[in-house]
Amino acid sequence: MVSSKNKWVPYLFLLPGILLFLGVGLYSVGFSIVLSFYNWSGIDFSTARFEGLNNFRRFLLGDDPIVTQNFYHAVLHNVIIAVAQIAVVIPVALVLAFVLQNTKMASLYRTVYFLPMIVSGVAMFYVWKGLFEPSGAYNSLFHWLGMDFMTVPSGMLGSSSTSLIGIIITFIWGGLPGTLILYYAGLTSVDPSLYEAASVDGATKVKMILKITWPMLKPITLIAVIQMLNGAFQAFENVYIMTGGGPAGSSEVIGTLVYRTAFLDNNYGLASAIGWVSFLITGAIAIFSFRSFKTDI
Amino acid sequence: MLLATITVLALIVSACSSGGNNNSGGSGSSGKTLTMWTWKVAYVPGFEAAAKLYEEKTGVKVKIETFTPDDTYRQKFKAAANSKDLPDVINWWATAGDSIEGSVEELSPLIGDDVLGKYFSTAMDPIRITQAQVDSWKTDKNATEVQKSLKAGQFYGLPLDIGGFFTFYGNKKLIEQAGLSAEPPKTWEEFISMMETIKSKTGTPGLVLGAKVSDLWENWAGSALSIMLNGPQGYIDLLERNAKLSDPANLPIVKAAGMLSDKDLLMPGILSTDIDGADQAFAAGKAAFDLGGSFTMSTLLAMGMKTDDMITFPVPPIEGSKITNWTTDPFTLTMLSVNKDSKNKDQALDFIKFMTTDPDATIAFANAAYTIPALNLGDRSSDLQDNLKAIETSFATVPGPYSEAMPAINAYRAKNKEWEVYAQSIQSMWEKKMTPEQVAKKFDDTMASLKASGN
Repeated sequence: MVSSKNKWVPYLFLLPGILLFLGVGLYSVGFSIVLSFYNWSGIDFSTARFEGLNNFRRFLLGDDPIVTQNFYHAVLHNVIIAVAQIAVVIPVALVLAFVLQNTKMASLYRTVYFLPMIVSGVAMFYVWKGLFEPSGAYNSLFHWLGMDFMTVPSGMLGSSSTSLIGIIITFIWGGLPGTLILYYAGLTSVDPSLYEAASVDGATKVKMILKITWPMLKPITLIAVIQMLNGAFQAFENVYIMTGGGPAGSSEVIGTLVYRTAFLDNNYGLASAIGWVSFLITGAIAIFSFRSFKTDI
Repeated sequence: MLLATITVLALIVSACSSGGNNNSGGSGSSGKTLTMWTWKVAYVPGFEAAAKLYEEKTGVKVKIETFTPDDTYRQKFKAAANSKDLPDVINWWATAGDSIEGSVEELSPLIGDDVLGKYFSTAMDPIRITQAQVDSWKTDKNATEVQKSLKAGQFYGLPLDIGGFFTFYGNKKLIEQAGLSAEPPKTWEEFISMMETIKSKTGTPGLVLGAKVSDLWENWAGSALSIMLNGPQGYIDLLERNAKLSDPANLPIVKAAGMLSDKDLLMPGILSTDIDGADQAFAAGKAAFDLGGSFTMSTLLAMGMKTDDMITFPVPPIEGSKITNWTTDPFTLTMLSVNKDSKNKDQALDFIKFMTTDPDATIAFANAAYTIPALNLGDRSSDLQDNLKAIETSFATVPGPYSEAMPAINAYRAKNKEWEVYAQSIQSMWEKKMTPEQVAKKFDDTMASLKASGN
């Protein structure tokens, strides 16, 4: 027990973290809000020029048609990634969690499925890039299986028709383990006596899943959905490494657009404005998801 | 938010690193240590060789720190500039109006003709601010305050090395295996025919280039085809929005690029191949030709190729071009600048003058970095490595057509966004999703709508 004399000691240990949060977290958030109203090249803030709402008008209202077009394309791609990831990961993770719960070697399978969460993302995205090359494992596998209609001669990432699919696959791969673990933990927390009681009452397996398991898992699903939405709208590393947003802008997402605008075009104000609108979109979708789930929870 | 977090983290990382201001020695020059940053890994042996000579001469050491790749270096520079933690000397792209001007010393009042006269005549062109740029920034609502504050004639760096894009490298073995003589093609059409033959005889794709970088084609080949076809003024008219790409006089430029995909001559997966990947593929024999610059040679040699394995030639003209022989018109690739807040400003300035004008230093640098110095070496050229000497003698000695178009390229190509749309449309054309006519129309329509909206 900490004596009243040394009550401040725990706070002292927390101080570095708090300072880091204030310095890196809150300061950067505040700074980026300010930046979004300025034209700034990234060096020496005294040379920044106040722009009012011009940055927002440029990409939201078509003041700069190309930036506007790039922005809406990027948002659309983020939405597609989010929807595809949720649509695939939620059911697959749920099924796998059920299977894991009823398998003898659960810990081994858990480790296997959990692997994508513990390996370095950047390294793995280079591996994915290699897999999707014209002579990579993806094309070779389908060619070997005699399913040439599934191959992409220019490589999955070298075609504007399939580059986004390649990116989505990495999102599904990366999103599955976390969701699986959430569901697995959720399933083990359901009181077995509920199933016993339902069984005594003559409930079928399907009914048990729909009436007992699913309602218990709804809060977990909500967390998983919000996590995936957040992840999809913050997409950057995999897109930057694998396609750079191309070919022909076919896999451009808000993250790569912000990066390009800030670090290559030297327009930090516009980049911050785009980042903030992206944050508001993500927030709005998260609130919408939360409300739509909350009514039934 | 993501952006600001990256910026703040970069600031912290930079603050923790060793900046140039902290490494100074005693009060005299001897015993001092200057710090220099670069992003060019291949240049480091060259910098070290020249720095050794400088230390022998002055007793001043130069510590070279490398941060690569390009993007990381740019971020590192910005973070350090904001925290006033830049090194004494900075190696940077030879550009004017890149917004680094606020952090580095203006050299125009400090450097006279005695120094400037030692470089190749065009060496300062990309570095010195032009009236065309000043006029362009004045009317550009997106120009930064730094750009708007610059005046024609100012410069902030000294030229280190020169080179040129517009260079094709050919795999001699594959060319001969296809029954062709390993001679440079005279026209674009002949080049296409060569690639067709090689592909049909050896099964190897004709061309690889870093097409993942969407504007690389225009920067490294397209502009040369255009300048040769209609002369520099024809290209300037396009840049200044006084001509259309769909004009019969300009359409052949797009069609020339279209031939590559029409005839399936591009290496599969080219749109996900970056510059290094393209060079690796060529060195591995996966394509008969590689598009690069004079600087690509060092990369290919580092990958194990030998000069005897290759033929090298400039972008060949489209049939009927006004200019029938492209002379590699070199321009300055990188420059050296001095941190305006450096405590060793005088020594830093002395060092960059030494690095760029002392023949022994530039030769030592060039031979180890495998690049051509911006210094006009005259008779001392014979001290360059044989390959470098060959490249240097292939350079035009007087300003050529590219130099004529360069002010307009610098002023308009990045600013007028129809060129961004064009670069992406070329990618679509190479995927056979657009025809040359559609690419040209899209460029013209975008140009018209941007012009109408005041962009």
